[in-house]
Amino acid sequence: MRANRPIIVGMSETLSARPDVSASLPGIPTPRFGGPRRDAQVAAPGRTHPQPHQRRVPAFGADLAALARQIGAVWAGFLAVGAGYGVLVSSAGLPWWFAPVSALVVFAGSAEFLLIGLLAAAAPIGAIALTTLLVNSRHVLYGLSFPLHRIRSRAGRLYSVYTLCDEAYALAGGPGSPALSGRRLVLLQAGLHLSAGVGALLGSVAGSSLLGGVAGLDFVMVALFVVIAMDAWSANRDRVVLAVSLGAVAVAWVLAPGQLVLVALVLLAAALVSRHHVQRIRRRPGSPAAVCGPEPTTGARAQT
Amino acid sequence: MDTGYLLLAVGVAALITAGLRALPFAIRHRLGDSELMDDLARWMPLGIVVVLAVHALANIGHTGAGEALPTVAGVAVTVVMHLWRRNLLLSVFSGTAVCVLLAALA
Repeated sequence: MRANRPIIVGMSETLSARPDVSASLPGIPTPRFGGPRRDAQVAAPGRTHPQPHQRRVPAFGADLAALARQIGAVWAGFLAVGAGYGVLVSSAGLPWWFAPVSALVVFAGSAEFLLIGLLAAAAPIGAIALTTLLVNSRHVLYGLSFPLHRIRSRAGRLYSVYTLCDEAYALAGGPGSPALSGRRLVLLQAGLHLSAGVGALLGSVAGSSLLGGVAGLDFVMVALFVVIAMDAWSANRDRVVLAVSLGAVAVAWVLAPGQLVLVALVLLAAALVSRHHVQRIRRRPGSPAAVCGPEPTTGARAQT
Repeated sequence: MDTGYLLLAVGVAALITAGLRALPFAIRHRLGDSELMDDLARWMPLGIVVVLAVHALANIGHTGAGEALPTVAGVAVTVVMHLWRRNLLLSVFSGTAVCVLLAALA
């Protein structure tokens, strides 16, 4: 299948542009598109040279230091976004422990931020479940190209799957990302995970006194989503998807402004599924689209 | 706020998120040639983040966190910085700094 592009392209591009990324992985070519071939190249040395004291297996500290050089800035960013989350949690009137606990247990940025609003409005658990399902449904796509097989231990693989957030995917699993060893994958994700948890704790406990008085700080998340959308657009300039998304938001705004994201995503998913069927009908030779009942109408609207 | 309700919400959100993350690894070999999955894998990420970005922009207007000017200026700086440097953290931090500064001056 065509590999899905990382949402945060800018981040991985920044990484690839740094010389120390490839320098710290001698002998491993910078990965290009086409996951499986790249994975085989990276994984092969580990399988053919299992001796534990070979130089190609660096010490834990060396791995950590190399990773910190590569993505330390992203860990710091997670600390900051975690702190912003903590501040929002405490300003929404939720208890102090909620920010670190939810950051560590759920560990899915956008869903956590939506969760605050839902909980503050005492939304039913069903609405929370459905919102989480739709907002995080994109995670289903990450596993299709994430190099989980590089991680040897079962515990490591479970942890990696559990903490497979957007950024972890973009940094390690997306096209053009550096080829990290299994241990570095786990360390990368543990660093993101802990940074988010510690940041949320700090923001929740100290943030409201430190940062609560600063107007405009909630803009961090607006900026983050704008940047992520820009990266997604430059990774995939699909005007139909853009138009359908904006249309879905507009319709959701009119129909259910209180559940804007949920309704917009349902409409978006429905429109894209119809688009898929319309395209398949059009591709099939000898079967005009007009034969197929109501579907082409939906799709035609989606295509514009 | 009821602690049981909060813990239940976190548990449900975590369970669903973990399930979604694990699903492709569990059924990877069977998903390989689904055309619908291919198309959705190509289209959904862009659509989702556009929806989230518009929602975030709409939200800040609603809550009235400061005047409109700091927000608009912050978005403009974020977009320009990102077009220029393509660095997520730099774009977010510079846009936020401008927004906070203008909100403090207003």
